[in-house]
Amino acid sequence: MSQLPKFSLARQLTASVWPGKAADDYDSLLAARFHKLAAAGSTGVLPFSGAGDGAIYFRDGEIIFARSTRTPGPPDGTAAGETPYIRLAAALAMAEPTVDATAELLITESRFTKFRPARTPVSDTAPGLGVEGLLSEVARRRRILAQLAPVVTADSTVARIPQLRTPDIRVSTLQWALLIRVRDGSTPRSLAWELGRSVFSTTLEIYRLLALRLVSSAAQRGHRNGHDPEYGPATMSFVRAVSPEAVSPETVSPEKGSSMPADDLAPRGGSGPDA
Amino acid sequence: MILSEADTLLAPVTQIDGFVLACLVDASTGMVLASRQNQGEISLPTAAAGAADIAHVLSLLAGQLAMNEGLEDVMVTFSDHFHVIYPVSPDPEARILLLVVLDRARTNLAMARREIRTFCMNFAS
Repeated sequence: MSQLPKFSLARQLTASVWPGKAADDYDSLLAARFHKLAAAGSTGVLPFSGAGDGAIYFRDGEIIFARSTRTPGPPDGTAAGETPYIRLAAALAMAEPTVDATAELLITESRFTKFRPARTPVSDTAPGLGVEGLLSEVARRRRILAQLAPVVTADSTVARIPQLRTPDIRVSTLQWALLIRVRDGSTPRSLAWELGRSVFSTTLEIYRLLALRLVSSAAQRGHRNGHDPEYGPATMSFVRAVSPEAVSPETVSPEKGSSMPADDLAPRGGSGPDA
Repeated sequence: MILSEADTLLAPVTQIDGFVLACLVDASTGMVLASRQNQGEISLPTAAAGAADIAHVLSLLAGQLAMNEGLEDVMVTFSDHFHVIYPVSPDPEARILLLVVLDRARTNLAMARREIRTFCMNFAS
């Protein structure tokens, strides 16, 4: 016999089927819709509207493509070749924009409307992503974005730091491509559109440039009272994003500001004045 | 894992003595692209995230030291397991990592490392 209070039990039972207004209902409703479409082996499109317009395309119950007006789409062409690496890289080039768009649609809690079945999928060749894996990946990304939220979000303005603090430094090709494009009003999202890369991966790369103290973010500049950030940002950890004690996804939307405990957001092991 | 059909790519690695799990990870985002696991004693998402975190720390190290070198491999030795991390990308700025976790009691590390290196060379060429 359950020891849960009656109200909690009723709320759990109805969470996935009742369109209530509580904050955690959106994820449950969407997961239920996705699982239903997957179980039915559906082919067609699930349109979204609201904070971010877009759509998620299904083929035989798997997600093959997603688009959002707030994230770049896949590249026009993919490298041809027969090595496993090239095949995997091509699949990743298609999958990453789909995961990025899905994450954006879910994070902004865009409204999904009636599923429109289709006889033929939008693509026969795009790699199919399992619903369960995709939802887990989106939840993981939301937790990572929550870690970054105190210092940078996809919509934070960033600026180059003019003075190098070390005599030598090395950046990757991608980091260099980002650095030379940073100008007044640049955000990770605008840079992602310029480079045709996912917003999530661009935000992470900007974070890495913050850690190298090559750029600063508006959040950092505000926090440091207008001075150049002397200390690096809070530590980002992929492990913390998948650990069992990771915060629940509904607390981490950077669009609404993080509601994580302050202790989780403080710089770890840093030597800064706030550490 | 995100690309279920990519799991077959990892089949050769599963033949290594002491194989526990293997996965391909996008180092830039930490996303698991494909995975194979023999035993469930180790959390695959956590092991994969750890590999991506290690690659991230090493990229910071390389950036701060301005080292003109590429990462060849990383070996982590725990009391019961080896964690071997290999970039599988043919270019020096590796984006995709291979993580192989091996049972220490059943693995010859030198042989395993050789097999993993051969797998990565075949994978990329």
